[in-house]
Amino acid sequence: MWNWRTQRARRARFEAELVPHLQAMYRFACALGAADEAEDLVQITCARALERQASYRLDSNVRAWLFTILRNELVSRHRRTLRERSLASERALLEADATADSVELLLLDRRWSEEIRTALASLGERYRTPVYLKDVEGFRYREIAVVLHCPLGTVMSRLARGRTLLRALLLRQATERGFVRVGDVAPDRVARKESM
Amino acid sequence: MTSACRTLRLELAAYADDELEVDGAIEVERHLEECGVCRRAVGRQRHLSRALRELHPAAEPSEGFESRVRFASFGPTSVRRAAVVGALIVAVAGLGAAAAWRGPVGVPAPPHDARPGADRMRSDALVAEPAPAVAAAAALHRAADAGAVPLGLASHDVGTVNAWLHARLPFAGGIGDPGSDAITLSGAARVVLGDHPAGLVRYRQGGRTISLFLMAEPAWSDGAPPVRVGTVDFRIFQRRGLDLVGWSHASISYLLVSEDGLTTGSACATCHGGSARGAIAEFVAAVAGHTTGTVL
Repeated sequence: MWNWRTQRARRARFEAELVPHLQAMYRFACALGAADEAEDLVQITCARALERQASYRLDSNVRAWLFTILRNELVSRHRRTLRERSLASERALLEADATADSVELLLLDRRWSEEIRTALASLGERYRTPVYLKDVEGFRYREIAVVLHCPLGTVMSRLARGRTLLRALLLRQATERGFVRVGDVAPDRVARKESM
Repeated sequence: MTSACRTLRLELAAYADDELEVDGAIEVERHLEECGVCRRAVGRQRHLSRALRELHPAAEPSEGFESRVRFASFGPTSVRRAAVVGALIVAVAGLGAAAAWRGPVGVPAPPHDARPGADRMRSDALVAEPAPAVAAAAALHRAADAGAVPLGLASHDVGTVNAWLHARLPFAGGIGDPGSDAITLSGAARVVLGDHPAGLVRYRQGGRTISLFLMAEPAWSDGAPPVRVGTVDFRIFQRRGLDLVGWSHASISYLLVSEDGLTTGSACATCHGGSARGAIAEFVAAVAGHTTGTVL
C-alpha cells in the first residue's frame, strides 16, 4: 500500500512538473516547423516522458529534458527535410549582409512580428533551434546544450552564426522595403571594407 | 576589428546573453571600454534578442489542447482535477459554474448558465423547445468550451477527422472539406446525446468555436416547423444563448451548435464551400423572414 501511494504521489508530482510546459512545447514544435503535428508531438513527448519517468530525477531540469525528447522525436521524423532546410539557409547566409546597426530598432519600432517569425523559420534547424530557445524561450546555454546533445562551445558558435544569418535576413527585408538604405552600414563594416 | 576582438567573439556574445562568470565578464568589459566596434556588436545582439523575445508571435494551440494532452497522458482523473480547478476559479470569479465531468463518452451534467435570460426561448414559431438530447448538445458545447470535454482526436485535417469518426461511430458519418483557411478544425470526440451515440466535431471560425454533432437519426422531435432549403428540412432550437440547427441528409442527422448560426450562416460554410453559398443565403433569409419582429 505504501509503495502504491508513493508511486501515485510521484506520478502526481511528475504531472505537476510537466503540465506547465505543455504550451511552450507546443510553441517549440511550431517553431521547428511542425505546426501541423505540434499537438501530436507534444502528446508523444508526454508519453515518452512517462515511459522514462523512473529515470527522471524530480526537481532536475524537466524543461530541457522535455524539449530534448520533443526535438528527438521531430528529428527522427523529419531528418531529411531538416537537413535540406539547413542547406538552403546556409546559402542565404552567404548572400546576405547584416551589419546595419539600425535593423533591430527598426523591427521593434515597426512591430515586425510576422517578419521575425518568417525569418527565424527560414533558418536551418541547427541555427533556428538554439536561437529560438535562447532568445524566444529564454533557455540558458547549458539547457540548449542538453536539448541539442552538443558541447557548450557548439551552442555558442551556432547561436552566433544563427543570429548573424537572422540579422542578414531581416536586413534584407528592411532593405527591400526601403526602410534601410544600402549605404546604412555600420562604421566597423565600412572600416573593414576600406581596409580590404 | 582587432585580433583581440576575434579571440573574444564568442565571449562577447555570451556577455550580451548574461552567460559569463564574473571573471569572464570583467575581461570582456575591459575590452569593451577600448573597443567601439565590439560595443556596437553587443548592442546589436541585445536588440536582436529583445526583438525576438518581444515580437516573435506565440503559436496558439487549438481549444482544449491541455485537456486533451492531460487526458491522453494522465487519464480522466487529471482532466477532472483540472476541470474542478477551473470550475472553482470560475465560481470564485462569480461567472458561473463549470460543467461536471462524466467521462470521455458520457454527457456532462448541463452547466448552469447564469446569464440573465439565457434560457428564455425566442417566442418564434420556428424555434422549438429542445428535446433532451438537443439540450444535452448545448450543454456539451458549453462544457467543451470550459475544457471539461477532451477531444478524442486533435487534428486540423478533415481526412484524419473523418477516418477517426468512421472507425468509432456505429454509422458512416463525416464532414465535408471546409475548403477555407478561415476555418480551423480542432478535432473530434465520441459522445452520447440522450440515447444517441454521436460524433462531435469542433472547429474554430472567426474567433468562435462551433460544435457539429453527427448522429444516425434525429435527436429532435418533429414538433417544430422546419425551414426548408432545397430538399432539406432544418429545425431550429435555442438553448443557453446558443443557436442549434438540426437537419438530416443522406441517412445522417446533424446538429450544429454555435452562437450566431441563424444570423450569418457562417457556421454552415464548414461543410459547404462556394457552391453552396446560395443555399446558405437562402437558409439565413428564410430564418430572418420568419423571425422578423420576434421578441427575444
